[in-house]
Amino acid sequence: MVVLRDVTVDYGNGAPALQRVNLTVEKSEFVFVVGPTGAGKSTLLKLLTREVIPTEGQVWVAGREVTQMKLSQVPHLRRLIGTVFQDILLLPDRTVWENVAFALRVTGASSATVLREVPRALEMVGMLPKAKAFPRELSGGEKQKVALARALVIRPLLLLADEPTGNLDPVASQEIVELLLRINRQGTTVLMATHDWTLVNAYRQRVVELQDGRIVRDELRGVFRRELA
Amino acid sequence: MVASCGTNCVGCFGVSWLSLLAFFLTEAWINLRRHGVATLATVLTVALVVSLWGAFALLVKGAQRWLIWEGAKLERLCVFLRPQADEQVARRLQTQLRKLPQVVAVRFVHRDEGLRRLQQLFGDSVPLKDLIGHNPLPHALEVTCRSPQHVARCAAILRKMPDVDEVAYPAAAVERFVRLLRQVRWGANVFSLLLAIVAFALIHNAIRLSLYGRRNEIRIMQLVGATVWTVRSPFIAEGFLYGVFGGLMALAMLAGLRWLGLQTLEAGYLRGTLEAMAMDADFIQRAFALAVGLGTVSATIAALQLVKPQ
Repeated sequence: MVVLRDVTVDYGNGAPALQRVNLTVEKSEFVFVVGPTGAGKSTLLKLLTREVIPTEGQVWVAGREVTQMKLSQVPHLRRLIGTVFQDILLLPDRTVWENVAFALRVTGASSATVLREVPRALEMVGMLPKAKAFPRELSGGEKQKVALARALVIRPLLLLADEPTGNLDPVASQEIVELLLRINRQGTTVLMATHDWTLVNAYRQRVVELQDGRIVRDELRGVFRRELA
Repeated sequence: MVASCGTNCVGCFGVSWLSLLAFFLTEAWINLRRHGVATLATVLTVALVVSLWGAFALLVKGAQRWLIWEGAKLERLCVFLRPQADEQVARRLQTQLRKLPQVVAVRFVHRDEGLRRLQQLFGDSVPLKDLIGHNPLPHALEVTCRSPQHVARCAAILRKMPDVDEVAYPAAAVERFVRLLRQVRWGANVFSLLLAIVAFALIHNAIRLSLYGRRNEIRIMQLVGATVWTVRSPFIAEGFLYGVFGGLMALAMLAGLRWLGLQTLEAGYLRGTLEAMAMDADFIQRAFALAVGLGTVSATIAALQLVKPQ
């Protein structure tokens, strides 16, 4: 699903954000990308949506070579990828339903598709009962679930979660990770960047650890040592 | 649309262009409402540009139509003979002119009749003959040409005749008036252009404001796979709506001013001109096209400058 080969990203403001990174993630895998702030976790995820172009190396996503991809093809790549962030980015003047439907409408999906897919995505994250609520009426965890529904509504092959629990309390964080795991069990590949060692250690999935832009550890059913967070 | 990847992802859902168009217009409408004051200022400026252009276009049209078709008798010209030319000379010239192919009729106007007509113009309160002491007018001939197109040619022939002092015809005055109107219209067009630049700047600024207000939407749009034109289109639709509302407002303003004028003005040249200033389908189409074009083009330029592919 994801292949990075000798990838270096240098923003030109000091040390490179990523240095000669090699990584392969198979279809339906769940990977925690861990490391301290500034280790290169977000840069790694942004490479996959082509928000960042590597200085050197190659990136493949779902069989597509992202580095050489024409700009006109990038939207089609992004329609295969769902993304959730620490800053939840819900539209405050729209309801939960409208926020989720927004992701479909911008791609020109028909009303029938919207009516079919939005309830499905909201049901998956348990937010269908609050479809008519506005973001201001929701808790932090609920907002993140809506953001997750918005990422899922496009039926992505790959789900990228960049610190999705960063602003949440432990209970809500746990709910979000369990949701991601459930989505993963249904066949979606998930990459979750985090520095929350409790979550990583609680769920024992594959762990890719980054430090100073390099992969220093890649373990199946790995842990994340507290002192590194 | 991309080919199906076999996973039933959004790329495989297909594109409904109607839904996409509805999305653009809905987003544009939300934006207009979100920035009420900026929207009102922009729509008013577009309306002002179009009204100014429209007012002068109508004024020139009205003046021309009234003068040419309802006002002056353009096929006529008046030939004033030299003061020393007596009635016999005038009658001879009358016969001579009747033979011209451009001429339909020639009427002799005795100098006394000329004075009587002049006296009628001034009214009885100003006794011209008593004031001047004598009749200063020469004999004259009223020449009727076949059509207004023949008048200038006919006047040129007449001016070369030895007994003719001056040839006057309303068409010349009309031409001068229309030329003046055109100059005023040209000035108005320059002013309209300046206003159009202001409107462009306002629309550009309004789009910039929208972009700032919608940066989260734009980020989401880009991340879920909207093409750059999908991101730009709501802003272009916004410009289109500025044009639509500005155009409607301009037409309403022009129609209102005309109605007000017709209610207040009494019969005369101004009212005649105003009556001829009807807004026909062609004018409405052109005014609307100007407004919508101004809004859409300005917004497209702003969107091209401000929304880049990412």
